[in-house]
Amino acid sequence: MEMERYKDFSLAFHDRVSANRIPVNGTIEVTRRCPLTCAHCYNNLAMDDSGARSSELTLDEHRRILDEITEAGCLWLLFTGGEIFARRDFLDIYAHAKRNGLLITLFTNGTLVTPRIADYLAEWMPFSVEITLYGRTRETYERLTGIPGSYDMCLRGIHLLKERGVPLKLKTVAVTINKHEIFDMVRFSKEELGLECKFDSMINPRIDCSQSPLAIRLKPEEIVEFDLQDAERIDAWKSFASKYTRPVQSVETAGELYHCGGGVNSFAIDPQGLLSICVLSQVDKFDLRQGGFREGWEHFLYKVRRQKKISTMTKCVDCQIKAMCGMCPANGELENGDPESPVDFLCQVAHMRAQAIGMRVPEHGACEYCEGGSGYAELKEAFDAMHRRSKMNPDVTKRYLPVASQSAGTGCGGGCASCGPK
Amino acid sequence: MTRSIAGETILVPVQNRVGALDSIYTLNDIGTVIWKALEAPSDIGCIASAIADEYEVPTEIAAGDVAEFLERLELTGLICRTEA
Repeated sequence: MEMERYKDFSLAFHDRVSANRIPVNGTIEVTRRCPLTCAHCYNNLAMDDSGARSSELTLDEHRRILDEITEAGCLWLLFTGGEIFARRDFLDIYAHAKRNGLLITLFTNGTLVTPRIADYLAEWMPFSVEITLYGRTRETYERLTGIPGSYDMCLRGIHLLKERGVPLKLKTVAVTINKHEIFDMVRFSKEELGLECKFDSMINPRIDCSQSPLAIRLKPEEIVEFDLQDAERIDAWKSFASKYTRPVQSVETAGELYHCGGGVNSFAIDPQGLLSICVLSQVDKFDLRQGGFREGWEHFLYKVRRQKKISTMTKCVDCQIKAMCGMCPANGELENGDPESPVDFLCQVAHMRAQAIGMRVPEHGACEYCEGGSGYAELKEAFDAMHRRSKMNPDVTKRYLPVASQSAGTGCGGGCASCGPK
Repeated sequence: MTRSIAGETILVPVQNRVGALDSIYTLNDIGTVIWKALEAPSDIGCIASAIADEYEVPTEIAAGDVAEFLERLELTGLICRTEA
């Protein structure tokens, strides 16, 4: 019997299975209904949306699918929403997954966590629970969620789980409404609650094609400024960039449209039982009500993954800073209606990130944001202004360090569950 | 419980306060056979005989290996000893 540190095991195991196309990472959206009405959310629907509710997989359908993904080799499973506890039978779904030997992570906003739910999770511990905190103050939190009383309900949920020792992490998303409280939330989580807390600044259009979340998206320079204010974060970008500083197309996968783990070692299933590469991708879906998971994985997603090729030589194809960019076919679909069309916003963020960590950007086609490009001057001006602001804070300035080394690899910095190791 | 994925047997915690994984246990072939033998109450002698037959080793050597393995499982709280 070998005992390995979990992190070592996870990295080594992902390496071992990556060549075998085993679906070890799964995401199941149990519902898109949610009691909150967050302006940035990419998929939330109203709690009383009867159409959404009636089209969701039944408990028996969930059990069947859970058995099938377990048999196919799924080990890490993420349950997400909407809000997972909006389904009254969620704990029954969870229990079945737990008994199947899956390592389960739960994404929740915490507002519907009751003592009964907390007791159950303490008895049948998940691998991890991640609660999203939307503001440090009640005013900011509820301005974003749109629901009076939701701040107190979230804190109650956090305390119920924490008191029982359920493995809990907090996270937040930085948008215009709460950007002034991001580090207060991190401090609150770490210092007052003793909980790990991370934040993300990248948000997507809604999967129904609405661009409404983008109204509260931060500017590229604000996103990079947040990176620079968090030492761990900037170190992580440097490390990621040093591993993946070349075009993400390898010899084996040259020409393939997708370059993430989606369809290779990960998959997503939506509330209606539609199987896809990831939660963001809405184009290629296999109906698990009409066929089994194995058929969907081995035939349908295999074709999506291996047979979809790059058809246009965009500036992204040869880009060597793609590791710092969230551009992927799903983001292209959502923001431009085209999986290959570069998302301008993501391109700006990636170029600023490269400047922030002192990384040279090799030429990669007609890129507006590279030196000599039409958008370079404006981007540089915004970056320099941000840099000047950062210099006001010596703790931030000292974190500017060049990337030390570059090595081969693949990856991207997108925000879905298919990117990067767990 | 165990999960066998890509030729690897992984011990996955299911119930009680074993959710926070700092470490994880994987089993080799013989460990997997022993673990499966423990799905029903068993003793060292029975398991050692099965191992000796399967891997063509002397029973006393198999018994020593099985005892050592069971001790490690017991120390980590993965099994408990009961009276016959």
